[in-house]
Amino acid sequence: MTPARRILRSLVVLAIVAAFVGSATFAAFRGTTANPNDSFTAGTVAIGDNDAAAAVMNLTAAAPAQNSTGCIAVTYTGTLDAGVRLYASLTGTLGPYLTLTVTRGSIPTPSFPSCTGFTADATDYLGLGAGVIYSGLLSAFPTSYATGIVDPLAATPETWITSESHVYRFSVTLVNDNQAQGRSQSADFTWEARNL
Amino acid sequence: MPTLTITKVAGLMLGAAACAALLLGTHITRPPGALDAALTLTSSPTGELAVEPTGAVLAARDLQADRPPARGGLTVRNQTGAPLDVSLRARPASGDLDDDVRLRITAGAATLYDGTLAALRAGSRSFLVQPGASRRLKLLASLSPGRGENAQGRSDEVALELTSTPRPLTP
Repeated sequence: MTPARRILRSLVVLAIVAAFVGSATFAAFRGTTANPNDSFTAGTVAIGDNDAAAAVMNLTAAAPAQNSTGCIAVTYTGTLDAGVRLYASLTGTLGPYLTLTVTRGSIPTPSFPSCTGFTADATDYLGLGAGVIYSGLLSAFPTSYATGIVDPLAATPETWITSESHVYRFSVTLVNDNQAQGRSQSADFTWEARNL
Repeated sequence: MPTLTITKVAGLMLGAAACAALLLGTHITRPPGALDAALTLTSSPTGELAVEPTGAVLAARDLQADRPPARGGLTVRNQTGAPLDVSLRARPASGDLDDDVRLRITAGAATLYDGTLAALRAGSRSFLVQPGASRRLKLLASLSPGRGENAQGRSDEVALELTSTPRPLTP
């Protein structure tokens, strides 16, 4: 090997070593922090009842003063805190001759439409008795969310949370009025929850 | 010349051995204990069904392939006036354990579901609950065979969603 080749070979080796050493020289400490697994899910607003699509009250060919009473359990199943209002869809002409009382309370083991074991809320929301949230003619019952009965109708509306449940006792009575003869009425009651 | 070749080969082998020793020596060894998988199953009432307890019905913080299944349970009560066909569906929060966990749900002698969490998204077999009656469901959760390695360190919270359909009354 000629001296020139030896020098060239030495230079190549030196260049390779310099590359490694250089990278080591310029290497620096560094640190990072990460925020992994961000995920996004929307909450829910959902409410259900135990009627299995059956009516809570029923009067057929009723006589004056005849009454029908039933209880329905309403459960909030959403994840967002919500306020609830109660209103109805009314059809017919018997409404002005039907008095309705709705009382909020609880039953340890509800079984639709039984009111066995019903205990009214202790609060007298309207000055009409413990737990009463509506008492009047069916025809005057609120028919929209805007005018609906805030649950309960008190200074501080109830904030419904997941799995919260309340029982409502409905009691309807046909008034003793000759004008009621032959009339009919239907009502669909709705509890609407909206997140707060 | 043969002596030089032998020396070169010996040097190459020594270098290779040194590299191998260096690599093996710096390899991060696996810790002696494998990480557990954690699973929580929750349940909440619907309008038609009451459940007991609400919230966590099975909580397993140490799921491993070689351990017995985690156990849990809940009671479902029909609070309507009609017989209900009830089934359950899985609603995982993350789905991280979807294919790793095997879940078995029984009601008495009947097996309502036996499979992965992933497949439970489609729902279990239904069971009948009479008005006012209750059914006790038992839950068994374990790691699926061969999924222990994959499940390590993973966790998920899975809501067991109850759905019910009134059974038509037969005349």
